[in-house]
Order: sequence, then C-alpha cells, then structure tokens
Amino acid sequence: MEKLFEWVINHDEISVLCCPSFKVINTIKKLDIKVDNINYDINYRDMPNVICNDFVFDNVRLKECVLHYNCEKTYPVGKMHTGIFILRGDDKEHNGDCNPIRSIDKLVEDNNIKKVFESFTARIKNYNHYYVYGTNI
Amino acid sequence: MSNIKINCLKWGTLYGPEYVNRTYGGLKKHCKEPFHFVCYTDNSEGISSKIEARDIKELRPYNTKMVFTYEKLILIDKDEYEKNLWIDLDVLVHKDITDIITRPHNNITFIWNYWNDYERLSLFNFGRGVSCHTNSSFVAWDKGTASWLLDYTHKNWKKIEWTYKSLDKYLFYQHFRKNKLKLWEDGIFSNYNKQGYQLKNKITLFNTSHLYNNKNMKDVKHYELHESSAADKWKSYSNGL
Repeated sequence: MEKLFEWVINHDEISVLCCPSFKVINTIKKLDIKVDNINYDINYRDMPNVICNDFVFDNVRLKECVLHYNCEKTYPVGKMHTGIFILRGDDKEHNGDCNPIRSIDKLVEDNNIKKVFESFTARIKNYNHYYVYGTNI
Repeated sequence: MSNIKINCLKWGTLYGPEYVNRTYGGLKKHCKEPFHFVCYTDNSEGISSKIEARDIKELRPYNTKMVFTYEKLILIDKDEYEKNLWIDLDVLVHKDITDIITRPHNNITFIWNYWNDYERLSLFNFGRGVSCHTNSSFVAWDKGTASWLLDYTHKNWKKIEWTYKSLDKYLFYQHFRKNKLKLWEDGIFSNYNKQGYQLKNKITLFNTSHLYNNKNMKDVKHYELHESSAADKWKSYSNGL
C-alpha cells in the first residue's frame, strides 16, 4: 500500500475511482495532492467531497493521472481515457466483480498500458492484489 | 384488430411449451381487452396455434453470455402496437389486470421488488456491485415511449456487456440510479417464494434467478410454477387452447 502513495506523490492532481476507503483518500489529500474522489455508489450521493458518478457511463472528466482502486468492478478505465494510471485489482472473484484481475498482464492489457513504470503483487487474506503504475500515452 | 401486443420469450429446455400456452391462457382469462400474443422461441413445437411463434434470433443482434435476457430490450421499437408488454413464463396472472394493461404507459414500466428490504439488501450493497431491486418479468410501454432505452443500450453496448451479468442489474445500476424508469405501484405483484408461498395481489412471480450464486439462499425451498400449490390453477389456463 505504501508503494501506492510513492506513485501518487509524483502527481499534483489525481482522479480516484471506486475507492470506498476514506483513509486512502485522506492520506492522498494530506500529501497536498488535489483529489477528485469519484464513486458510483449512490450511498455517497450527498457527501460533499465525493463526485457520485459512474465514470464508465456518465459524463465524467478525469485528471491526467487516474487511480482506480477496484479495477475488478468496472469496465477498464484505460479503454476510455488516455493518461497515467495507478491501477489496483484483485482475484477475489466476488459476486459483484465483472472483471476479476488475475495478473499484472491482465491489468496492462485491459487498459492498453503501453509503458509500465512499476508493478507488484501482494497476497492478502487468501487472494491476490495486483498493482500497476503506467501510461497508455 | 387489437391495439395490444404481449410478448414472451422461450429458449432452451428449462420451460416447455405448456408454460407458453398457460401464460397466454392466464392473460386471456384476466384481461378483458383483446390482445395479440407472440412467443419468440428456438422451438415452436407444442405452442398453441393461437399464439404467433417467431424466431428468437430476431432478438439477438449481440452474441453474449453476459446481460442475461437482454433480448427483451430488442422488443422495443419492433413492430410495436399502441400498447406493448412482455411477460416472463414463470409469472402467474390470477386476478383481473385489464386496467394494468390498458392504462397509459408514458414510459417503460418495470417491477420493483417490494418484498425485499431495499435499504438493507440493495442500497447498502450498491458499491459492491451485487445489488438489484428492479425486475423485468412484467413490463409495459406505449408505442414510442421506450425508444430512449433501446437507443442508450445500443450506444453503450460494449460497456454494458462488459459490466452486467443480467438485464435487471443493468437496469438497476444505470437507469434506476438516474431515476429514468417508471415502476409499477405496490399491490400488483407478489413473489411466491419470498412471501410465504401464496398468491398475493394480482400477479405472482416465481422468479428464482436471485438464487444464482447466492450461498445464503441454498437452504430455502423454492418452487417453480409447476411444482407449486398454484399448479392446478396454472394448468387450468391451457384448457381450450
């Protein structure tokens, strides 16, 4: 997780997608980075610091750098946006996951990543989390 | 000529032709207005000659294993009558529904799962991608009033196909979320397997699709129409066909 913040700190502003953890969002903000916290979950509708939109289907403007925290739950952001990506996905295969991430390569391929700056895998609670920092520019 | 068209779909072997004939019979018994009934199917054998059978392929512009029963949406703008409906085969009409069919439908109208706790089951879990509180087992619209939904679906198909396992989920996450759907009022529908195995209200669903992959429901007994306590009533609907 700390690695994630090492990547984020290279950017002045960032769009964060599908991140239910306010701890992560607040940590990024404390790094003096401007954050658009975009989440499709309608439970966040009335929260002032959340842009409650579905970035896949709604008209949402993304920053050049995008952190997608739950890639297994959505259409790949790299198919819709050109920029720099910090991507996290897992192979938990939860019933609500439309796109289980089973490898670094899957994240790279789905998002048309042309250059990978860094990547790693972490095993937590019997399933794998995959992280990629790269660009499709 | 009638100005009402009611459609159903049957493919595979889960339901036999008797399900089609009895669905038609139930509607005939409980709707006082004449209507034209069409079944889109991959096998018309055993379907009553009073029912127009058409090839299910007409409703399959997309080849997908996702968005289960998306074919229903392709009925929109297809040879529409003034009033259009589709009904699932695991639905039993058991009281008069003339008003429900003939009233104005100025937007396409879906079922809300009143028998489930919205806040606890659907709203709470929305972000996890598992929620679904809309149901497309009995749907009505007036001519031209549902075009927006078909247009949106075609335009966004690639993303929809990637994201949603079923039509109902797509409708809930994209169109209920944006308040675009009209919903039937409470008191019309009931769910046999979720409401004490009884026929309540006017139309009862025997839908069991919510069991798919749901470990919590494994021990709860669920009945299809033909094995339920309503089987005799249901069978009587094919008399004279």
